[in-house]
Parts: sequence; C-alpha cells; structure tokens
Amino acid sequence: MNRRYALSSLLKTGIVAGAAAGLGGVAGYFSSRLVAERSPPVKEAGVKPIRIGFQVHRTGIGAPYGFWYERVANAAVSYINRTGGIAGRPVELIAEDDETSPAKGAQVVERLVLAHNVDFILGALFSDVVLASGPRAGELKRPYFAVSEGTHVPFGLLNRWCFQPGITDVPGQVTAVAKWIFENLGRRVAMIFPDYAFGHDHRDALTRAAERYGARIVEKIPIPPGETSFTKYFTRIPRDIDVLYHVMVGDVLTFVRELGVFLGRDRPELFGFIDSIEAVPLSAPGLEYLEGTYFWEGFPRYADGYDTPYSRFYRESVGVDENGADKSDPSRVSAYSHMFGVWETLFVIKEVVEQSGYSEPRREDYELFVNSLEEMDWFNEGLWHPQGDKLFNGRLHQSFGHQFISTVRNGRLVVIHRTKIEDSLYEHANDYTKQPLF
Amino acid sequence: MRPRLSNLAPLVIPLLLAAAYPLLPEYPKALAARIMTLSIYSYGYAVCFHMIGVMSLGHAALFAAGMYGAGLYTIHVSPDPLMALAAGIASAVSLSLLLGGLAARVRGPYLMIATLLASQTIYLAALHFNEVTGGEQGLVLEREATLVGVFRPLMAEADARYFISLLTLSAAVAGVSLLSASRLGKLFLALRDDEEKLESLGYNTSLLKLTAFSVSGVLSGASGALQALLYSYVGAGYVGIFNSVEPVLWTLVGGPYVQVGPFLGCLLVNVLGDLARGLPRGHVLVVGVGLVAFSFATGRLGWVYRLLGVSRGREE
Amino acid sequence: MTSLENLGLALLDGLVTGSVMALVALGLTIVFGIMNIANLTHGELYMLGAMTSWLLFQAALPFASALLLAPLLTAAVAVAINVLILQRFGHEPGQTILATFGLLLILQQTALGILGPAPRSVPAPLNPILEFSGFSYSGFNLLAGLACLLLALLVWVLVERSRLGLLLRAAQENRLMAESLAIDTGRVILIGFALSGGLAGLAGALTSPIRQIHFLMGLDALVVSFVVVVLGGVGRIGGTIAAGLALGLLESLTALLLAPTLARVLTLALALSYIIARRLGVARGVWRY
Repeated sequence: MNRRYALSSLLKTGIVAGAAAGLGGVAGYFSSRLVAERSPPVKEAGVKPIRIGFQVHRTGIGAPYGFWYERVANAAVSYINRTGGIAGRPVELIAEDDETSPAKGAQVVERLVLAHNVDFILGALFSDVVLASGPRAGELKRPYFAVSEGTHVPFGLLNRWCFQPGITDVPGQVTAVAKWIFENLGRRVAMIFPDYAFGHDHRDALTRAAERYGARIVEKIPIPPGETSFTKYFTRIPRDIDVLYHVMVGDVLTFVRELGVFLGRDRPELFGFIDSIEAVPLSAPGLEYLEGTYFWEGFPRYADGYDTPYSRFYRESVGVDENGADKSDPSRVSAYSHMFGVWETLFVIKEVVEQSGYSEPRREDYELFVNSLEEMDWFNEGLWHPQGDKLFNGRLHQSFGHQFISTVRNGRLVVIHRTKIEDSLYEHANDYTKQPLF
Repeated sequence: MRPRLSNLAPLVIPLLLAAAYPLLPEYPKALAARIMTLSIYSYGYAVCFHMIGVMSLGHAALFAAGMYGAGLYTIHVSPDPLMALAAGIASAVSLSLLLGGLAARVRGPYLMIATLLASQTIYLAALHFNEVTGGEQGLVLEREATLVGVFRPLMAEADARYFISLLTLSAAVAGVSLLSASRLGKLFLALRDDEEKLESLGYNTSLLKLTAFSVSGVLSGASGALQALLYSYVGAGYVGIFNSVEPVLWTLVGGPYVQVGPFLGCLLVNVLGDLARGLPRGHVLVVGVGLVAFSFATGRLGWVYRLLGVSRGREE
Repeated sequence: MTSLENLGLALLDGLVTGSVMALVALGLTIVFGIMNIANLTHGELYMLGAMTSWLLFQAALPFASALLLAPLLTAAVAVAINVLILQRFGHEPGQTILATFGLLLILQQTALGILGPAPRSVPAPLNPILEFSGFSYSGFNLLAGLACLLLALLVWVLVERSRLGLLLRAAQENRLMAESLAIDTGRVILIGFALSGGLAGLAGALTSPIRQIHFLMGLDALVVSFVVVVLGGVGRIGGTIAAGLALGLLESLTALLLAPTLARVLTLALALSYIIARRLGVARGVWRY
C-alpha cells in the first residue's frame, strides 16, 4: 500500500463515515420531528395535558394481552377526558410497541421520557420487560406503573419509582386460592407451569402455601418456552394425585387438548389459572374437556360472575359483551382477568395527582406524588375500581385484593367463590420508602 | 506489512460521534449510546463473518456470556465494574474458544446449526438454572455497582453512558482496523478465500479460526458486559435466536467493508426500527419492508466498495 | 409398570411429532438443502397454511378444502417471493438472507392483522380417542402423523427417482453447465420453490387441528426445520425424514428421564455432538454465508 493510496483511502473513509453521520443526523432530525408532530395541539388554551406514556405489547408473544391493554387504556382515558380530565387537565396517552422484549422495553422507556417527556409511564405485563424497564425509569426519575402480576415490584427487585397498584401479584393470588384448593379439591398436588419467572412465582407461592396448610406438591413440571407439543411432559404426572394445578402461556390450546387426551375421563381435579386460556374462547375445539374443572379468575369473564353497577359500566366502556368477548367480534375473547389492571392503574394516577397537587415533571412535584401514593392504603370499589376494593401496601408498592374461583359449567365460567382480601396477604421485608427518591 | 497510521482512518466514525455529542438532543443521544454498545457486538460478529467467512448463528451466546459474566460477577463476587467487565470478556472468550472449536471441526450450514444449537443450549440452561441467572425475567444490578454509577460523582449517567460506549467502540474500531491490515488479517482473508490452499501451505487453519473466534469473543463479550454494566439489567431475553440473527442483518446491511460496515449496518437497522416505533401501527412491518429494501440496496453498493478499494467478500 | 406405559406413549408421540417435523422440514431441504437458497420465510409459509385452514373453517368449508387450497396458496406465495425478489439478485446468499428475513417479518405481521393476536384453532374433522393398554391417544394426531410421514416418503421417491431431483441439484451446483445442456435453470428453481412452498402449506393445513394457529408459529417451525435439515445431512431428503423422526423420538424419550427444560438441553446437546462427531460438512468443501 503506497502513501498516495493510503491518503486517498483516508479521504474515502472520511467521506463514507461522514455520509453515515449525515444520514444519522437526518434520521435524528426526522425522529425528533416525528415526535413533535405527534403531540396534538393543547385542547384548551393554557391547559397543558397530562402525558401518560404507555409501553404496549403490540407484537411478540404478549400481543394477545397487549391488544386488550391498549383497548382498556384508551377507554379509561376517554372516560377521564369526558369527565373533566385529571385535575382539570386532559390526558394524552402516548403508546409505543415494546415487542414484548426486555431490550426494546427499556428503549421505549427512554423514548417516552426523553423524546416525549411524559409525566408517568404505564408499564407492561411480561415480567422480563418490566424488570429491564424499571431501572431505566428509576434513573430517569419517572413513576413506572407495572400491570404485570409479577413479584418484581413487591419483592423489592426494582426501585422506589416502580409501582403495581392496579393488579394483584401472583403470590397474593396463589395465597388466596391455595387454601380453597387444598380444602375442597385435595392435598396431593402436581403442578405444570411455564419455565420462566411467571411460572416460578406460581411454583414458589404454591409451595409456601402447601407448607402452611399441610398439603403436598408431589411433582413440579416446568415447561420450556416455545414448546408446541406437550404429551411427552405429561408422562411425568403421577397417577395418584388429587389435583393437577396448571398455568400455561404459549401454545395453550394444544396444551389443553393434549392434556384432555392424556388424562381421559378418569382425571384428577383440575385447577388452572385463567392464563392457560386467557383471550381464548371456551368454545374452541378441544376445550370442552375443561367442563367441570376449576379456574382462578382475576375478574370474571362472564358478566353474571360479578354483577355490580361498576363492573357493568366498565364492561360497557371497554366494549366487551356478556360473554367476555369483543362486542364487534364474538370470536375475539378479552384478557378480562388482567386488563382491568390498566383501568384501575390510570385511576390511581388520577387520584394521586389530584390529591398531591402534582403539576409537572420536576423534582418537588414527584416528591409530592410518590409520597402521597405511598401513604395510600385503600382503594374503594367503584367506577374507578370495578374489580373490587384493594388494600395498598405503600412499603411494597403493591395492591392486594379479592380473587375469584370459577368452574366451567355448560361451556361457561361460573363463579363459585370470591376470596377475602385478608386471604391474600403475605409478609415481606421489602420497604421501598427507605430508598432515597432523588 | 506493518500496520500504518492510515489504517486507523475508520476512527473518523467515533470522532464524528464525539463531535456530534453537544449537538444531539437528549433522546438521540441515548439512542446513539445504545447503538454504539450494540455495534461493538456487530464488529465482533463481522470478524467471523467477513474476515474468515464463517457464518455463526450462535453469537448471542457470546454476547450473553459477556452479559452474565459481568452481571453475576457484580452480584456474587464484588461490585467492581472494571473487574466485572474483565470477567464478562473472559467468560465470552472462553465460550468463543468452544464455538471456534466447532468451526474448526464443521463447516457451512452444519456450522450454522451447530452454533445455533450451542447457543440454544445456553439459553435453555439460563432458563433452567433460574435461581442463579434470574431466568427469562433476569436480574437487576445495583446502580452503584454499574459503570455509570462509578462516574456519577463526575458526570450525569447519560453522559457517562455515551462516553463509555464511545470509548469502547473506538477501541473496537481501532482494533478491527489494525487487525484487518495486519499479517494475521491477511491470513484471515486467505482462510476465507481458500481454506484448502492455506492448509496446504502449512498453516494451521484451526488455530486461525480459534484466534478469529476469540477476537470475536472479546468484542461480543465486551458489548454484552456493557449492556449489563450500563443498563443494569441481565436476562435471557438477550440469548434468543433473534439476538443471534440481528448481527447477521447488521453486517449484511453494512456491507463487507469490515472497518465501517458493522457500525453503519447497526446504525441503519436500529434507526429504522426506532423511527418506525413512533407509528401507531405496524412498526415491525415497516422494519420488514426496510430489510427487503436493504437487500436490494446492498446489491447496488458495489461501486462504493470499488471506490474504497475493497473487494467484496464473495466471488461471483 | 407405569413407566412401561409411558414408554409406549412416548414412542408413539415421538414418532407423530417427528413425522410432522419431517414434513415441515422437507420443503426446506429442497430449497435450502438441494438448491442452496436460505429461504427464511419457510416457517411463515407453514403458518400461512395453518391460517388458510382457519379462514376456510370460518367460511364453513370442509377440512379437505384446506388440504387442497392451502398448498396452492403457499406455493403461489413462494413462487412470488422467488420471482419478485430473490431471482432479481440471482439468489445471492447475503441478499437472500436479508430479503427473506424482511419477508418473514412482513408475513408474520400480516398474519397478526388477519388472525388477531390471540391463538386460533380448528376442530379435527374426526377425532376418535384411541385406547391402548394403559394410555390413550388422539386418533387424529396419529392420522395426521401418518399422513405427514407418507407424504414425506412420497416426495422422497418423487424427487430421488425422477429427473426432478437431478435438475434441482444441477440448477444450483453448476448453473452454467446446466444451462449449456439447455436446462432452463430459472424454471427449475421456480418448480423447487413451488414444491417447497406447497409442502410447507400442506404441513400447516394438515396439522392445523392439532396445533394452535398463531401469528408467531412460523419462527419455531423455521428453526426446527433448519435443525432437522442439517442433522439429516444437507440436501438429503431421506436424511431429513430420518432426522425428523429421530429428533421427535429423542425429545419424547429424554422427557421421560429429565426435567422438561433439561430434557431439551440434553436433546440439543446430543444433536450437537452428532454434528461434531460426524464432522459433517467438511467433505462438502467451501460453503460460505
């Protein structure tokens, strides 16, 4: 390589690199333009909207939930805006897809805070997305509201900026229903769960509950993700159990169908978390096997399961019919047991903003906001909390509430028991209020 | 041939990024930091892909080894970010020797699938031993224990993140540029172009492959360790197949000019993804259309490479 | 005693799963194995087949119509992908990977738009539960598995015992030579794509009553197919069938012994050591990208 060549190569490299940087600059410019254009004009002169960022699972494995989370968020925001907004200010929802991926989720948090300057972030369901996002929210000093059921918030894996007031967590749910299971269905239990955090939370909580009530978990079968046939794993189910406890995500229809063929008529009692068939119609081929089995529900799919004026109003607002399906497409069943958490979380934000006098994203306002939220200890049942009252633990940043146990009768879910809030309480040493906020 | 100063010409990229720093608004700055961290992985991949002509579908395992190495060191041994970085790189290099060993034994599509199987095995192991790894949910590192935490008394976390990524990227670009100009780099190209001939000349091609893979391991591992130490999160979500495919896309989009291509490709694909994310619907669809468009574009970039005096990676 | 029953079930289920894997992978053997074109949309074509079956079920058409129409549709899509895109750059490997990955995302998102995010299902046209001594098994699963296996064997015979297999190989391995022998390589590649796409779609439709139909189902199918194709020896149809069956059995049998995720780890590790031990690919010479 001679000197002249080296020089010209330097020059050319410079040109290419410059072009690249230029391209990046243009892209950056458009990206900020896009951001600027997306915010609609202030609705009333002088009134700045409250901006709520929303991390949605629009694509990826969380999409069935994401679809309904977005529907509910829009419904709640539209209701809030019709009825005077939050502290007299309109609410603007800025939703972005996180692809149900932890890496993309963290990036969405950065976008929402740095590009959109949102006041609050309504977070995701899948716990890996929540866990990757929480540290970013903590560093960027924006309250992050998970609607996940995960233990990441209450068990102290995250930070003082992360909350879960709108939905109960898995240990709370399992603690509440375990006693009922052991007393009514039997004490020798095998469990099937996905081999990731959501499943491990079930495994750990049920194991603790079994120790407390003198029941036995005789077999734990964690299913690796991405599995499309399950019969091979069913061979691990012991024949002499009273109850098979199942909670699955992923290829749930195949799971239930193959389970039905494997167990046959002479089956143990089946207790499942509705997650196994969330967003799936009970009329789907193969699910007739679930007749006579039991399910946990967060909020009953069928309207008569918990019929109050508030729950009726909520069901109407989110466009879901008596059977838990989309009003415009009865084959599209909702994620009814989870999505109410989005509704309730938005009203927690409204309540706390109004109570604390929060006005804009700055240190003193967030101090007021977080302190007020941590001082909350109860949310009353009502239009804002249609699923029922909730006890809020400010140290754990977590709500505790009622759970439902249903049975499948004539192809519908029929509620047979509603647990008390006390049934779901558990002890944990975590205390977020001891962490510095800034 | 001795490496010359002019071989460091691609360092123009980091220089431009440093110059752009005061001009960039906050979000593009954060995005640039992310892309810089990722493009180190892209360079790591390109060492195997473009320099020795080996296509691996298991590089996510190297990235993950760096990430878990750094993360688990921080949590279980000591919260010392520099040592954690070293631990991350060390574990990635040891794993890269394993992948390199595979490359020495099998070739072509068999190697693709062998590396894929190896990284899937590691992914599933990370899920199974969730009590240590945190499984798919992952683990959070204490802010104070991260690299940005160390710099906190001196500068804001966002700034620290930008400059640490920039510094590491500069080192990667310089390293890859010097390597490609060095005698070893020429041997790599010879290995890519005609393995049998090189072998018949008495070179130990297995050793060359191991060397290339370990360089690749250093870079991929550094990128993974930075993910843990800059963004305080470690999780199996970074070990999936998609994470092995991403650098393939980046290096293909960037083209075979190994000094700048990996960065350019990583930048283009990520900026496209980020722009599309603002759309109310179908942003993944837009990325798909973009990749198809890139596939046509890379075929028309021949003149750029001729201009730069680089031959394309493949014969016609 | 119980374990013996379980062994019977595991063998049966492993063979059924393996037959399905073999048929899904078969199309990829043709396009990737024989013609050396890394078509990453293969899994999406499988998904399209299943989706078509669901759409026809919604339109109250019988299951048989899906077996007919789904392969036609997916063959058409595969041909379109080849003609409109891949052929334009002469199937250059790098560009093919980029383009087909982009298409993978496009097809997947299109399916999200049509199917919606939640899983869908279609009923089996007939579903007797078969009672074996000590365990029961779904009659349709068995039937679908058998059909997959028979189809795969049929294609094997068709390709290996006819001029088609020779042409397919010739079209890619020595295009110049083939063309000098007045073989229209473009058309041969086209036939390869049609056959491969059709097989993927047929597999999707055939297994639609035993799998859930979901917009993400293609990616797993793609990965499994690649593994099966490679384990069977690239370009060998019989090898693909054998590898599918072996992998299915291996997965079933390891699941008897170990915790499920560890069983998967063991299966993968065994597959990996098979590749290493056989030193596959060395003899095939230089193969890049």
